[in-house]
Amino acid sequence: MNKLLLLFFAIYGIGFVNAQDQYITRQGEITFFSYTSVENIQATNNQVLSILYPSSKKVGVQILMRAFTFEKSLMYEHFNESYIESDLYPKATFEGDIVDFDPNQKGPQTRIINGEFTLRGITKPVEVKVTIINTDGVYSINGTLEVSIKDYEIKVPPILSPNIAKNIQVSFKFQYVPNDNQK
Amino acid sequence: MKKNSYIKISIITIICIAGLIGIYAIFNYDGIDTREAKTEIRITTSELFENFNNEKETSFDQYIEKALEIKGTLYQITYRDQKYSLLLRGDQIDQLVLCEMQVDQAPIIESLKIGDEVKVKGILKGFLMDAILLNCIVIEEVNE
Repeated sequence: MNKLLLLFFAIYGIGFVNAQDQYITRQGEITFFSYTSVENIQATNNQVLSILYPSSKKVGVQILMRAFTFEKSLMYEHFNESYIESDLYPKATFEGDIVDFDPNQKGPQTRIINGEFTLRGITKPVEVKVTIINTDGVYSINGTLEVSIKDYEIKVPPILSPNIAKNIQVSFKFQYVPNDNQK
Repeated sequence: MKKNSYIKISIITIICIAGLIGIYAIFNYDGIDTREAKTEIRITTSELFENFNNEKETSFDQYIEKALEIKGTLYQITYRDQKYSLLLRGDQIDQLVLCEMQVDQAPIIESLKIGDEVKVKGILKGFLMDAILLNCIVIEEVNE
């Protein structure tokens, strides 16, 4: 069994370690946007790992920072080497509880996820509004959140400060399949 | 005297144009062309995860952002944002190699079938549950 999967189990306890209750996406999508009057920057990562536990109403996400793709290679280099320091902090993670989630409700439901987001080794509580869609027992979760670069001590050189937004808009889209499909 | 001035102005103009071209090239550089990148390691999907799982995951740090050639069984093909991804499998049931392909690979990928043995070359970005490679190209298809 993969070590990361075991880590998820360890984090969430053994009460829901049931393969039939695990839904997974290996190719979740996260896009972030930095809007300023000087420059707009957008990057997308289509290789995000997320595991959803409907009965315990928990969700975990892991993001490989180097898997973000940018329009220009120079943006990618600045992002990984200067801002995120991906050699030191290769992953970002999110773990959360979905408030009032009804896994049996068909169609969309708008819910809040209370969790903790870790970026550059710094963990902060976050509250995310999401839309969860249950289509014949297959789930998808979409949503947006705002990440303050100050909260995660992302240092932008003064000369580039006008190019980088203080608050980064993040959108995500995860389409899960039952984990036992992978076996 | 006048001739010297013309020569100086011409040299300065050429230097300025070269500088501008250089700056433009830096800002518009689209990254590594996987075809041109030197292959650092040739490995199968099974060998990759065998090493990774045996507490040797840090040994792969040296290959991050480097080109790898990986051979494995085609488990799944996905398509998003005009890019295909090939998911390769080895002996491990819960670990895959995710290869996001270059856009120009579409005609080759459309000829592949699930279960084919394929060899891809791509830039290793790191590991989550799976190994993640971007800018991949198919370098060999072995139908068995």
